Amino acid sequence: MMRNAVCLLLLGYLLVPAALAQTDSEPASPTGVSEEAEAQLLAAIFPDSCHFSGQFSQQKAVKGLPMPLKSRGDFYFSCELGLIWHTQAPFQEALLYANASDSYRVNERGDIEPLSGVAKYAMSNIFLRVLKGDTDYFAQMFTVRRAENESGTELLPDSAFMQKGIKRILISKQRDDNDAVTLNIHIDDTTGQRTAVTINQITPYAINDKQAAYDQCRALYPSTRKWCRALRMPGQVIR
Amino acid sequence: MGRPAPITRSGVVARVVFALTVLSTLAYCLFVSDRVRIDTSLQDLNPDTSLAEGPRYATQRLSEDISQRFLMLVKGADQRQVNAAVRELQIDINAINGLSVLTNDSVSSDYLSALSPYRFHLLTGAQRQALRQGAPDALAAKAQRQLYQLGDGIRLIPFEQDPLGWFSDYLLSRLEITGAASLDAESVIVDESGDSHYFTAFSVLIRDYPKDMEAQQHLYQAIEAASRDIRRNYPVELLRSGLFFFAVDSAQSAKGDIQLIAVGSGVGVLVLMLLVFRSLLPLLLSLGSIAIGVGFGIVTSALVFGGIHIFTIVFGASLIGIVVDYSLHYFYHYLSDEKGGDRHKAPGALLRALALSVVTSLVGYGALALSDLVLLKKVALFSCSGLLMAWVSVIVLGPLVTARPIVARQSLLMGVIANLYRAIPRRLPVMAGAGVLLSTLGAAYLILSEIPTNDDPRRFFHVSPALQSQEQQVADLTQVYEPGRYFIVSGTTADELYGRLDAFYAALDGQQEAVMSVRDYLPSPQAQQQNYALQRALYRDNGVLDRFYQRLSVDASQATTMKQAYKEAAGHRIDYAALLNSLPSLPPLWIEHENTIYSFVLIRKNSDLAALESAAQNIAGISYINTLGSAMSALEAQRVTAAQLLLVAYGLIALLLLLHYRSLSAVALLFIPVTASIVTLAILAGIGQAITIFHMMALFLVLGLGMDYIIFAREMRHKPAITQQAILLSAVTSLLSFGLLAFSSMPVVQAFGSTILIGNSINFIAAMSLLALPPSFTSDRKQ
Repeated sequence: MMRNAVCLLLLGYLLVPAALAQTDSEPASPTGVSEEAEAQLLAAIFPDSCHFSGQFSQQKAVKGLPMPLKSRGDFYFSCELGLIWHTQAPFQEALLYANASDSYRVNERGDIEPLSGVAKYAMSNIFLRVLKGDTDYFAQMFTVRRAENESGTELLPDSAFMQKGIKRILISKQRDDNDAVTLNIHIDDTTGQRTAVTINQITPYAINDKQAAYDQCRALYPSTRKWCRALRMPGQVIR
Repeated sequence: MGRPAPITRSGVVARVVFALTVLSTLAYCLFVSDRVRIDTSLQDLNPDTSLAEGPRYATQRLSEDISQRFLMLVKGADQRQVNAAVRELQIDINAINGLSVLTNDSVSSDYLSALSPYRFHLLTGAQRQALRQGAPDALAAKAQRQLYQLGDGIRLIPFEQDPLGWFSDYLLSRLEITGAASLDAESVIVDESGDSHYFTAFSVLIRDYPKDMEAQQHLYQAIEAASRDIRRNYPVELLRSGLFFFAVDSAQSAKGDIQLIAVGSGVGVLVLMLLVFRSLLPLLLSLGSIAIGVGFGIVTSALVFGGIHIFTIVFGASLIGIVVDYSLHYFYHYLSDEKGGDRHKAPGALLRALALSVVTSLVGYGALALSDLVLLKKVALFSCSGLLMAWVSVIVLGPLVTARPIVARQSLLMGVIANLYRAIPRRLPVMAGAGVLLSTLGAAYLILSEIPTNDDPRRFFHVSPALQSQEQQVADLTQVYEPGRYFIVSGTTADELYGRLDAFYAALDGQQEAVMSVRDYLPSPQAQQQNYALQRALYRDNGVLDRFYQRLSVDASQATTMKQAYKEAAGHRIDYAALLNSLPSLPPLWIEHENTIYSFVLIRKNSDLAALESAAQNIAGISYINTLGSAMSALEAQRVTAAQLLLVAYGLIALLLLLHYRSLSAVALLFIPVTASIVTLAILAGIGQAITIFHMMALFLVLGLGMDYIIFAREMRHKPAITQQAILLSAVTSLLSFGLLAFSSMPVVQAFGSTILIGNSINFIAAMSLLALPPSFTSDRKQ
């Protein structure tokens, strides 16, 4: 359903490190590229590192609301553990994605509750594939090409299922004088609504095992260590 | 040649009636035959179960609905190619007249459109709980969070119509529970070698199910053409599943059988008649009686059942071998009567023999109507009407044919008979001893060894291995619910039915997810009213909606439209019947019949069936249905009943023989078909055929046809040589027809044919032995 596909919004975040590493060496045709070229483009945008953190800001335009909805927060991703997506404003909330079947929401009281519904599975599935750098999967599911009138790389879902909710994902990057990268991700859904996510202050980590990933998590979220425990031992956290 | 005898008034009337009937049949065949529907439904092979009339009606409706849908599955190693193939296939199938692709996209968007006007009456269990707990601030905060969330904040209808997202949540939860959100979603499987295979399945609705075989073939060819194009253009595998394909497959097999039997029997009759009579006239009468009989059978079937089933035609093709017997006996009577007598009038002995012969055949075929299988009822009507009319045609037209001398090549047949007599017993003690021995051995074998039986209706029709494999693959990949197992709930009102469903769900004790019913699509009218009352907390002044807008720093006047819409929606409820009317793609879980509502509860695969059945036991108006189990039980009961009825038929025929011949020796002749039946069953069991209702019903014909020979042997005993030849010819044609049936690809036809082939062979040998006995044995009261 649409919800499933819109869950792909978070896909953008996972493309950050890859986009940082993207080179201009592979020109793409306006109408699409060969599968080989697509594979090269995908390989270029997948993460070099499996462990990184950063800040995000989001702006979502909702038809019927006079002003856009703005939020911001931080995140931590590790191939060994999963993803923490922490919204700080306008309210406190964290989403924890351990694997394809274990996803949680941390409510305003700090309680961890499982994410339920179709969304959970779709998001987890996509997340894991991106995090694993599953080039084959994305080559199958998306047409990857350079954007026509905008700068950046465009991902168009091939799958009818995804097409129900998502129209395209556009990723562009800016590099400042200090070589710091800001990544802009625009997600157009099928209702014509656009969500813009900006990610910056990205820090990669050199982590070798699950314990190190967990330690890094605790270092980043010292006051909410149970989030990290939820990622390390999914399934036990709410018992 | 003698002077023609004057025709009596009753004779004139009979001939006029016959002529009118033949003309009407001919006119019907000429002018209406193109509208005679050749039915291929496999439902006719399903027995009536012990269900009451209402649930049976509801179950039939469900079966009809299922038969009007099929599933297409596209599988391939390349997801992109699979998607492109699915898109093209859906377009191609939609372009076929009478078919509509049901994508989940369309189902869920239709579901959304249908429910949207009633959104103020719809709540999930969690939403009801939240509203009962109060805390409007918490609810407003949650709605705000959802709005910001990337994955969780999707709106299925515009924000202005559902700002809190409650209706979207309700709808998504329903789609998830009912499984509508998953069918045409892509899925992936990994094979044993670790390679991924992507597949997408979608349903297709047959809007106007082709009842006619030709239309069915046309539709099938169109689907085949679309499938061929996809296979040619994309590296994908195409699988399909549905009763439609089984019906087509069976019809194609049946068509081959019909050609084999009709051509085989027809050519056999043609060759025999020409070989023996060396004249076209007897041939014409034989072929004429066959044509009239078969034509009349078709007309009566079309008039009574609205069409003719293809399996009926397969069975009916065997009539050729029986119908021709009447003309054979008729002609042979005149072979011995060339030098005198009235050629325009059949003698009493012949008429009596012919009448008794047709009566016993009618009893045999008529007994098929005692079965609960619609197919056997249809065969009974077709065969009885066909036999009767063919017999009448021989009686009426026979004198016209025999007006000229008939010559037969008797030496040929006599040679065959002489050879036959070298192999069969010609003395009563030997014959009786052989019969007793064989029947005793056969009976002992049947009693001592556990003879295999088969009451599974799925084994009654032919399914090609390729189709069976596809069906299994599709079921493995997509089937969500237990096939043929469900609960049926009834109630006089919607609220009563929902009340029973609520009680059932409550009794499931944590296994609610194992079942799916109308309750998962729509709350009861009463619950909808309660939901509306609960939602007042959302839309009242300073309620959840007002607080939500405050959190978003949006002017509170934005809420006015929603509040007004809530007020105006008071009393706007919807029931499942109305939903089904506007959404025909929904499963027909709601059927109203004679002031009662019936609803089905589907069971998810791998559920604890015993626990579910137990949960329903103490709830009124709900029963567990196991379609296959019920059908098998019903067929088993019918098989046993058929055996009992066979005994009754033997008893009745014994009484008939006793009354007619006033002789116990005549009754003793029944020992012949008894022996034939027992030995046949023993042979069939011995060669590994599982005995079905069709074997048992065929034994009625073993009795009927056996009596044919015996009656002729007895009635025409004064012309033993002629009668032997007539019986030989008759047996050859019958055995040819039933022998061809025995080689059918259809298990039911094969069962029927092989039983009669073996049984009737024994009947024939016994009848020939009977004719070789001394005249004293065949004496009766009239001598």
